[in-house]
Amino acid sequence: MSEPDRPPGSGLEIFHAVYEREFDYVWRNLGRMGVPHGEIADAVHEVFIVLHRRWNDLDHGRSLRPWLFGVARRVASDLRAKRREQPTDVEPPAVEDPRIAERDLLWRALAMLDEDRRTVIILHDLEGHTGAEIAAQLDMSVNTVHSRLRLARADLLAAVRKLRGAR
Amino acid sequence: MSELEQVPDELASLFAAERAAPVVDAAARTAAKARMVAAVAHVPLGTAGAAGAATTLAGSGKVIAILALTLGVGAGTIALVKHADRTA
Repeated sequence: MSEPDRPPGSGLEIFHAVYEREFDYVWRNLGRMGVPHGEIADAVHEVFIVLHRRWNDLDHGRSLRPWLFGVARRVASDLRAKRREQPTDVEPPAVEDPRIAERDLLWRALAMLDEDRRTVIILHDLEGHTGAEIAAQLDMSVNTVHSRLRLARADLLAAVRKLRGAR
Repeated sequence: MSELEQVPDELASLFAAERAAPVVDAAARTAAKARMVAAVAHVPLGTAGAAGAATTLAGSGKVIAILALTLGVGAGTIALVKHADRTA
């Protein structure tokens, strides 16, 4: 459909539909990437502002998730760099729901991992991508993905045990 | 799911709990949506938007300041040269 034939506001409607559809995906992955609870809302906003700005550059025939994941990674990385300059308390608030408590524990343990290993474990074990898909997305060999995954799981297990012991 | 060896049980149960946990509460979701709607309401898709416009304005301000400084210095130099010619 050419631009003049497009009903007014339809582009924005598609953007808002994408926002609704991918909001949880972006929020959850920013938490997994170590963005503190109090900063996730701002980080999600930033990711979708980038999506809005870059809308015309994207191939809308393909899944947006790999692209959104990449933007979320950059936003999380920028926030980490900022926190190194101005450290803040990253302790999540106490919660009653045991699922949320377990999720927070996992997110804190993931935050302790090296970024490359964390990314592989998020994409493989939490998002369910195959080694080949991750290799294509991160521009690396499948063997490297598998190697990083093994190391990441060992690191994550150690981090979880350390945090449980510290409770 | 995994192409590799089985995920350790301790991690598998954490992963399951994470997937089952609610992502964000309704109030935070509503606030985030309202903020996004306000941010993009009058900005055409695929453009720099309010933040970009602010950056552009700031950039324009710098250019004008540099231009003014250059013109000021240039005018001052000409005046000095004329003054030197008159007094020579």
